[in-house]
Amino acid sequence: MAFVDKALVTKIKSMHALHLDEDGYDVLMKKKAIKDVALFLKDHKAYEPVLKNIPISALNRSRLEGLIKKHHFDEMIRLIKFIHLKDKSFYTISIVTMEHETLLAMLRRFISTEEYDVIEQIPVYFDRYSKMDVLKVTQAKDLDSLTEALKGSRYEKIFKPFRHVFNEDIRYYEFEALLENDFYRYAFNQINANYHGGFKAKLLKMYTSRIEMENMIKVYRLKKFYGVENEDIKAILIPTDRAIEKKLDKIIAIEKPEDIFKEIIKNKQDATVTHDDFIYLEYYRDYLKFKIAKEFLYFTNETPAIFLGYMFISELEIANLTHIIEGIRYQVPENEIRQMLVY
Amino acid sequence: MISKLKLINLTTHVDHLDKLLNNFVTFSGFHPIKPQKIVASVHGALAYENTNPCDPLLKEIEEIETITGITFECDKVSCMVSDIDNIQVFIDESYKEIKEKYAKIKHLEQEKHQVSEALFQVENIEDLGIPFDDLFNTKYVALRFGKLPVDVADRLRFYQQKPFLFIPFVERDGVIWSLYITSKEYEREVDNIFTSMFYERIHIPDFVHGTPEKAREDLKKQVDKYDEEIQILSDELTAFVKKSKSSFDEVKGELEFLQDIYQSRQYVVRLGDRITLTGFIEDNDEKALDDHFKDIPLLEIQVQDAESDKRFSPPTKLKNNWFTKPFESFVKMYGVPSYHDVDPTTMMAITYSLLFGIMFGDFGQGLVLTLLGFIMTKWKKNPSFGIVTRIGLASTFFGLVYGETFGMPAFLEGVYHQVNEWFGWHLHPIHPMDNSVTMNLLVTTVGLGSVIILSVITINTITKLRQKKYADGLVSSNGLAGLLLYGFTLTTVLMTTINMSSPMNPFTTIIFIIIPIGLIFMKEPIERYLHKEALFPDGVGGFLIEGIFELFEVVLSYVTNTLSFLRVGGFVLSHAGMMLVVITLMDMTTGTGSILVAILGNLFVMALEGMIVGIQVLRLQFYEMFSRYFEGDGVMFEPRY
Repeated sequence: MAFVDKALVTKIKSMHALHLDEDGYDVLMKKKAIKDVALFLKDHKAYEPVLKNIPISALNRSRLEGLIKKHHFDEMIRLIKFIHLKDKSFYTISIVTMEHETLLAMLRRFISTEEYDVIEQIPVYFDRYSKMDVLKVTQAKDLDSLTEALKGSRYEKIFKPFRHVFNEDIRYYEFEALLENDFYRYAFNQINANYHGGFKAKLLKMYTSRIEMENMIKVYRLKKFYGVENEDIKAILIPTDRAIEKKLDKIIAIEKPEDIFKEIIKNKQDATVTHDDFIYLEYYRDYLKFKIAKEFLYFTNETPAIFLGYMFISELEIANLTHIIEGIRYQVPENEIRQMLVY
Repeated sequence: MISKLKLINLTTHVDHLDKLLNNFVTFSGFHPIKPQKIVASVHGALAYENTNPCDPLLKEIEEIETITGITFECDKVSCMVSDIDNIQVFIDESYKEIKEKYAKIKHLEQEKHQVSEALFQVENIEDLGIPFDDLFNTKYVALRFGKLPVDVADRLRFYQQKPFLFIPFVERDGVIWSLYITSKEYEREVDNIFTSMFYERIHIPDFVHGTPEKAREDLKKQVDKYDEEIQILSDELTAFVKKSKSSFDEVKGELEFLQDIYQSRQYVVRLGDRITLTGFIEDNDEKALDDHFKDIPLLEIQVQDAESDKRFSPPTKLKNNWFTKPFESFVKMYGVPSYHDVDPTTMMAITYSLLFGIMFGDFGQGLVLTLLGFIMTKWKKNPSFGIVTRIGLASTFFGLVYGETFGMPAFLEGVYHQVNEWFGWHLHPIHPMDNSVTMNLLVTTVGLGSVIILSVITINTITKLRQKKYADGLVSSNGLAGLLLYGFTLTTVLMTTINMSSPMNPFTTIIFIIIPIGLIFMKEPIERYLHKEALFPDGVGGFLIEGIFELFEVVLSYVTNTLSFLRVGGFVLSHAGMMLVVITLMDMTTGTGSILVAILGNLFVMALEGMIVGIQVLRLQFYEMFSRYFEGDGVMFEPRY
């Protein structure tokens, strides 16, 4: 491992050491008010810098959640800024996620019949790191002006065919699928361009199995909540290889959505978990993500893998804290909140 | 050494519970046992609930202390003057009055805070010179004063097309003191935008009129008025608490004592109308215990051997002399020896000091370490610093042997010369960097390591045989079989090296190599046989494969553990090498520079190498030695009071 890699890994691991641990989550789950969660985080080494100047009385749910997200984004940026490697573009994958989040928020805004402030929902602090003109994007009123705002960026190509679609005709899930495809295309291109051999295969496999899981969740949700036809489901899945597609065909053929849930968990051949361990399939996905993150963070020597492991763990910490905050807000019992967390 | 303990049962009538616990909390040296195991095995036995009525009252007292800033000083009393109900009434009444006054102060402080913020904001807009009445009575324009968090200020860029004007004044404590102006038509929309950015509005009080200058004066007056009112209330509050301070002191003392009594109930077992408190004491405390508890009516004191009741594992009380005691902290870092185990502190103190001294031998630096350790022990009152004193002494001694003082041989050469002249001796310092010394030094350190390993295997053999763990004592790699195998191999290597005839022949090979290896290989089946269990529960095939790999590991560990002591010699050379660098640098400079290099160089070597050597010796202790004779699965003797 090169010196610069070692330095990055050391930095990642020292930052990871500040993450919330089991005891921290145990304490947080017992809190009765969002104010108490904020007080705990204010005293926590990792969150202290971002929360120290904000009075507790000014920390409501959405602000706290926003600050938690911002803190993790700043941490990722601290790492990315630290990198001067030839594969730096691979490390900026978290910015791609933010760009997609922004574009989807804009689409929701176009579809919505009510007037609301979309800026509030967008992590605008990332715009200086994005190649997309975020300011211009947020001023768009429809797909035409959005495509105009995206001119010159790699998203122009994706949105151009739809520029004349009226707001009321936008099919949100279609764009969701397009951006998902874009995300994985970006990841695969970066991996193919920067890595080789066994490590490349390992990264590709990780992303492929992630696609497989996302597709399965999509099948389950479309069947359970929207009653979408099998053929339509197939059309919006993220394309993968033949073997996975065959597996997906089997899943799509299952009639009852609950059986899909069981089948997915059974197929993963993980003896340690059962269908009863998870309320939602999304939590099972998070569990798998956590397993991969741990493997990457603790049992690999390759810097990009360690970085990915850290990124996943950070995403899960955001999700965990959001579950806790929302759980407290809606007075969800502690044991149910616990079921939603992965740590 | 491990102190001998006694198992004690104190039994009396349930009516004397408080008296029993009263004496218990004032007796030091009683390690109580939690009653769960007794309750589980004795039909009808009950444990007391772990509720403590003193906790909420003590919390209220703490809060009064926080509110008033007055600390109630008390000694824990050993008897109760008033009962807990009276204490509760006293605290409730005082607490209510204090809380009321405190709430008033807080309310005033909050109002003062709002006015102070308005004052600060008025100061920000003073330059405008526009009367406030004009500013707030505009027909078409809406103005909002307030604070915008810095972390969201970035979002303002995204609202640039919205009809408002944002005027920042000053940034302080993570917020931007500012003003935004919009038209009445867009007032609601713009307010919503700023609310979404957590804009905290500051309301200018209604009594503020006239120019900003006049407004500032009015606000200042108001702040002063609040200060006055707060001061009066605070004085009243302090006077109230001070008046009752002696009562609070007394009550706090009684409550803390009562809290101990209630907490101690968790150790009591009740059977019918009898109660029992069980625990361990040192055997020489027996008389003191008798005297301390003699005034309790109907008390029966049952004294038994520490191991007489199989339900309880005796804790371990380490008892060491002045030299070895500081090393207990290192031992505890690894684990506490069990009551039957051997206390490794003495062995560790001797070998740690010896190895450190060899690796870091310097007369001058050793003396500095000794002095530093002595000062730190006295200053920080932490006995662990005593280790530094001891290893400093060892370093001083080996510094004499190497003839080095702060890396310079000249000082001790004179001493050697003088001593040789006085006594007619021919002593010379051993310089590790001499060609004739280096190789011998490395071999000697490996030899020393072998002797240490042999010693710890011997200690383990004796301990295990004493504990009647015959398989561990006789046929394990750290028992008699290992001792014979390792000892014979070392003897053979030594005799061959010094050109004596090798003791290895078919007979000795069978006795000292083949049989011990066979026994070590068969250790687990032998152990199972002694415990009357199936010899090969996982099948013979599995045992053979696993056994061969384990045996390979055992043999390899003898070699690696022995060679590990090479580092001792390595660090002797490294220390000498580093000091050589310091001396060379000194030679390159002159006058004060040379002295400065000597001081800084020595400090650098002492800090860096001292720490590395300390850690390396600790590593040798934990990996090469403790792993062979010390399990560290005991529980520390911890008297409750």
